[in-house]
Amino acid sequence: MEKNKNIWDKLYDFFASIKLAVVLLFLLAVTSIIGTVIEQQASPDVYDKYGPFWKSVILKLDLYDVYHSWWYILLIVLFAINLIVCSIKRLPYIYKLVQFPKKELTPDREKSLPLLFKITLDASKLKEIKERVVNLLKKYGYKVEVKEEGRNIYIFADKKPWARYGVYIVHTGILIILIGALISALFGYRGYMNLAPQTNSNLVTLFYSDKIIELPFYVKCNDFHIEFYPNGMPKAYVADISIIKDGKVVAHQKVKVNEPLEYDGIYFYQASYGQGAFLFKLNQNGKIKEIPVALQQAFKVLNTYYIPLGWDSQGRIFVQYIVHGLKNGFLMIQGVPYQVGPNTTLTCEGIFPDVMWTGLQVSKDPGANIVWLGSAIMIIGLIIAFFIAHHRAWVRLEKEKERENRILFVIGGITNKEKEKLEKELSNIFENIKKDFAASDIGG
Amino acid sequence: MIDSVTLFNIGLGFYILSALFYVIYAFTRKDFIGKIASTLAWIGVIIQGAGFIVRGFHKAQVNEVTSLLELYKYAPFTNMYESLMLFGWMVVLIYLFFERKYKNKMFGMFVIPFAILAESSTSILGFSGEVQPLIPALQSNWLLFHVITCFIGYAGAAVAAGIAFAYFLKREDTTKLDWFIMWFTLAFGAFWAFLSIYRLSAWFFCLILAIAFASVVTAILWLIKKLGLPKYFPSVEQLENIMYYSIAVGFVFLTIGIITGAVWAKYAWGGYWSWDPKETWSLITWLIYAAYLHVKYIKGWAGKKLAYFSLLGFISVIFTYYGVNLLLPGLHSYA
Ligand code: HEM
Repeated sequence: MEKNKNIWDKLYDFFASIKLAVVLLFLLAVTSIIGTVIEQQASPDVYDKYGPFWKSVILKLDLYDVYHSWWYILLIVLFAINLIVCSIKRLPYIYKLVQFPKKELTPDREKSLPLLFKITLDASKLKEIKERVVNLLKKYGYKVEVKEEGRNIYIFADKKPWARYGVYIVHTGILIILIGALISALFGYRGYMNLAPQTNSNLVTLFYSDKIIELPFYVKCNDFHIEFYPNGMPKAYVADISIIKDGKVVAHQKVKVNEPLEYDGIYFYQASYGQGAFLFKLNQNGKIKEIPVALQQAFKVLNTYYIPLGWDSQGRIFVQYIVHGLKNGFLMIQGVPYQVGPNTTLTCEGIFPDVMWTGLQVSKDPGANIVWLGSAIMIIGLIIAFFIAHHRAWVRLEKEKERENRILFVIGGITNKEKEKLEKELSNIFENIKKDFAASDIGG
Repeated sequence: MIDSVTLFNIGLGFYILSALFYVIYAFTRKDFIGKIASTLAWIGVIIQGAGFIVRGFHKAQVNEVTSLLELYKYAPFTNMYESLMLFGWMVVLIYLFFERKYKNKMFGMFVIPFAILAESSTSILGFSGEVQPLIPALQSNWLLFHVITCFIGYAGAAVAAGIAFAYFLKREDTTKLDWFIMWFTLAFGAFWAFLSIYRLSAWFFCLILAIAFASVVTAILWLIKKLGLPKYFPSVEQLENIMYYSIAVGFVFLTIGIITGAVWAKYAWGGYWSWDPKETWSLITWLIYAAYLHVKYIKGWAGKKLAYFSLLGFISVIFTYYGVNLLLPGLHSYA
């Protein structure tokens, strides 16, 4: 057998093996530790403290961003393949077991059952015995089928056979969660916008990158304030936010921590707050436009994004700008116009250190609902897999050849869990039958 | 109105008495002593249950709750003190449940001490039992479900670890390695518990204390085995079964805990998963228990190896709870 296997069979067996599953679960657990010990997604010089050798290891193996590294993702992909192949291999077998059971307890099959009771009974009561067994099985919640064939009566009883699918429901849930996470990673984003009261913007600066996203609508902050408990602890951060699309207010809400505003699949969270805002003036061919912005909030002029990162006491403003994805910076002096394009100048007219702004986190996560769906499926599957057992029982009433007044009564069963409970059920039935119908002259 | 901290401490007193009676029961095997032990544990559970209710009302007051919809603000599970109390309470409750189901009182002396250790590590020294108002990030309905489910998960893991100890005592073929693993688990758990009391600067002192503690407890366990008491435990198969079901219960709740945590994170922080150390460590714990659930399908992997996994999972739980809070600050620093 082993010799005849070609490479594909071997690969199939490898990916269907539960050993691989345990190894992968373990590797994922161990490698996940790394990311909680080494600081993640920090700038390279943070890792100087490990010394030149370990720093190069950290940088080469992506240990500075474990959970997005190629090898961590490879582990997850292998894990998913493992789960799929394993289920493909086993499901047909489980399906057959659930849907097309062998319903006759033949003497051959008896031997494979872990639980089996036998006794010789009085044949004149055959009909009553049969009815009693059927009723008892029904009382325990079994679905019962009776079949008469030649000298034998076969009874087949099944309880919750679908519970066998529990494990596969769990595994399906996990796959759906992974799909949701993939969609989140590919099509979602997380960033921030800082808005001072009475300012608006459509620009979101993404975390951990220099990318800026332009929303198809404007977000306006009408008001921002902090509420306190009597003892001085903060009770609530409240930002009054409107969404403005094509000049019309399309949504309006008080955004608090734990109470984000959702519009068009994009969520706005009250995430932080701070102080400091600027008033810029744009002069384009003599046309003047005022641009009020909060600290660290991006604004756009021509094809360039500008982000005021800070100021000092001498009225100098440090401004970062991004053109075509490239980042650079310069110092602006309050009141001095800067040429930013043909016939276009930008001037910082004022610095307002006391203005409070709300830091909104902006996120779009098209995979989240898929993750919740997968989670629900997984939990239902877990409950079925652990706490619902499949019981299956067989009975054979066999008329003996030599003695017409005797029948042989055989009852047996299997279960995937709850062996003790099945044993109790079957032995109760057995004792009940034995008590009332045992042949008087011979024992079991 | 009576103070919740007083109720918790009275309950804890009952657990300590009950653990004492469980030990006496184990040595004397007198039925009425076992009954006293169980009754004491039940009284403790009821008193602490009342403690949670009292605390809930107190918290509602402090948080200026005005409507029933703000139910989560009553939830007395939002800081280290409260969550450890909940943990201890759950451990005793789950234990009593198994005691009834399996009609065996020999484990009280193994399991109840876990609850006592967890609860006393807060109220004697470390964390304040004072009722405080909730900071904004914790004002969420999901928080309630998140903390309760996680802690039932942790408690299931603790019960399974207690059973693993009993399992090694029961088996005839316990090796030096098994003893070492038991000792190590005790030392590891004690180390972090002490560290959370005395803080990081005293780590060496905590290490010595933990080693001493683990050695004494291991010696007591050894004595129990020498005296032949494990013959009154359930059979090896039954112990495996109880361990499996404790982990099954724990795993389901840990799973729900991680998911409700993700839902909460989505509403509080903007993303369901941020690889925050606490999140990551609960995932690690979850992966270890997932591995436990699968090893038994590998040929030759039964018996002791399952017990090793159970202890490994519990070590991971301890680190997720104490270690992460002390060493790896993140978004979860409050609990
Ligand atoms: C974190 C991921 C996983 C979880 C949470 C999970 C969950 C479960 C659960 C709860 C069971 C039932 C265990 C029991 O009844 O004691 C199970 C069984 C099983 N799992 Fe997984 N599983 C995971 C990954 C995998 C992977 C990657 C494979 C791939 C080989 C796999 C293969 C199996 C098999 C073959 C069974 C036994 C099925 C049977 O009894 O017919 N699992 N799993």
